[in-house]
Amino acid sequence: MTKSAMKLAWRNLWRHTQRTLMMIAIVAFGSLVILVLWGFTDGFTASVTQTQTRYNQSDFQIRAAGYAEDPIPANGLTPSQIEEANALLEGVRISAVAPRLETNGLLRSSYGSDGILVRGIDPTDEQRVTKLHNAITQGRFLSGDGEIVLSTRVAESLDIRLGERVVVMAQGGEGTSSMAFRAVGFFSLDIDALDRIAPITLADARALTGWNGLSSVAVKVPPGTSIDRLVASLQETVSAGDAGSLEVADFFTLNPMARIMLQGGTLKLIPLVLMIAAMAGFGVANTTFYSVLERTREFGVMTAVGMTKKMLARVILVESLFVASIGFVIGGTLGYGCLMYLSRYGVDFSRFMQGFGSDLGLPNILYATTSGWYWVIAFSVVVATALAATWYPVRRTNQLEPVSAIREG
Amino acid sequence: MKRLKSIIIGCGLLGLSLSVWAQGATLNAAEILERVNEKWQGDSYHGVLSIEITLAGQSKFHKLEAWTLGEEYALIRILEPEIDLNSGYLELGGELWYYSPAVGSIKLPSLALSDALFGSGPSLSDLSHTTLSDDYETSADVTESGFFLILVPHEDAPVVYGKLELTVSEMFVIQELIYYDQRGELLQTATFSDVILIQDRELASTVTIVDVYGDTTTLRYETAEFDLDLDPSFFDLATFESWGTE
Repeated sequence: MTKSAMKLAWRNLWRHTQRTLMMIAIVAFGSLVILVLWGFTDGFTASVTQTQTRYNQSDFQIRAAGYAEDPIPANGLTPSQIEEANALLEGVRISAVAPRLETNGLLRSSYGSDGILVRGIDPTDEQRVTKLHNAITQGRFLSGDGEIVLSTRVAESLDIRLGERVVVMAQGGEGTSSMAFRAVGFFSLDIDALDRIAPITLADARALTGWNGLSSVAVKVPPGTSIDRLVASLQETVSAGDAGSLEVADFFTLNPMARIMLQGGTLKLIPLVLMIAAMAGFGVANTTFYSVLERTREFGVMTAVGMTKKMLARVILVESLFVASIGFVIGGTLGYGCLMYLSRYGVDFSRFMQGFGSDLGLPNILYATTSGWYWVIAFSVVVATALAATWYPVRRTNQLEPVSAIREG
Repeated sequence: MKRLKSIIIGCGLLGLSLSVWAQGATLNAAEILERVNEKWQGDSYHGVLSIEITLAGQSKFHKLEAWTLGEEYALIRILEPEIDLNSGYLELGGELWYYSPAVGSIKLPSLALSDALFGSGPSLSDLSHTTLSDDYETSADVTESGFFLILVPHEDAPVVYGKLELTVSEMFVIQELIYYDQRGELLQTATFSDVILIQDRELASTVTIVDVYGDTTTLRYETAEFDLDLDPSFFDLATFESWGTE
């Protein structure tokens, strides 16, 4: 019975090639858009968070409570708070910890000056929590006092070459202080906001700022660890009063703007996906409905010669299922191909990002992500929509009276 | 007679040269710089200056009244352009304040001291004491008209230049200051001219700075008084408020 329904449905479909191709195209387009949209939104979130955590922030940070309100060294971690932070991390499953002391400063070369974020680090520890050293395109990473690493963009804008002396000015404990550094390496990242980072040694940062503490402790966790759960548990310990003057800051705490833009990004997409699905569904429903109307006489004859209404409804349903499946295979393949391309080469938004993206810490090149789940989601949405869209035409077929149908047709 | 006159002049010139040579022989570069600094800065100063800046063919003109006391205190009152009249800057130790009659006083980050003055080539600190500080390895040669000094920054000195060349008259007035980058390429030339005598102090009343791009900054001392009895309490935010009411 089902086999006959499938055979009939298949034949019916190709009796009206143009109409069938149109329905397939609608479903294919819907599938493609859903897949690309989903993969690109996930990719956008991943591009931003991964670049920031990999090259800038690490997985999470411990800093003094209230530091974010006025991020100057004097509001950072005092030596006793550093001990508290170390105690807080004792026994916790982490892979590396790196101390940091940051301050805003002015970088001067013979050709001008520019604002930078001076980051005092321990070069060895820092390489365990971030991979900025892997982004060096000229020279080498920081190894000792008196050295500075700059972004290629800053170096180019101030015409600084490797080995040249630059002067960093910053607000110290007693007014402005200046120190000379040798530029030993230049790094390139695709987030403009990170171009301002200028690593120097922790000892130099302490001499420059006159602050003996730290701004933060950057923490890296082993792969597979749930950062959200770990941060929540540490924050709970902090709130319980064991280390009340500390704050455990995850990615979104460190990037408040990103929180607004990215948090729940994929969930926010659901209404949009439903709209696209509805659009594809109406397309299928519309075409199916007209195909049913066109074939009223034919259906009348079929029921008159003994075909049950149930069988007729099944044929129409199978027709929709065929259209949805073929459309999905075409659209899904094209969409997944697009995602694979976008995950490898990305889309260059550098001209657009110069306008506003750099302030939000967005990368210039955004990549899509690929996942088998996108197929499942897109297929479920498309098939469910196609079947739901067939409900009305099927209902109409069920109400057909053979004699009047033959007469009407 | 004519021959005798020539001999007298010749002896005079020789005597002057020998005197300069003797001074040069006894003074090292650091001492020459110290003498230059005394002429250039003094303990205290009050005067009216004009600054004309030409950037990419566009000119801007500013007229200022300035007071300084040592290296700690400085007060600048803007006289022109009209729109900025009675605005000013106050430097108190490491702190810098900006005043506008419409807005009031705003504390600026002291890093602003390193910003280009009114968008000119050199910074405020370039124009004051930074370039003549102790951050350089110095060498001096005696020339026919004075001294020629070469200043090379110490390895760890917070100086962005590669080398400075300083021409100083025998009266310890700077004539020319040439800035080079760390690749030995010319950055900018400051020419000091129109020497005037104020309170027994020779002062180059015009300083013209030309950078490699052809942009120029011309600073003129229209009036100048040195070694005044200025009270540190004069360098106060309240002084800003009194402008325009006197």
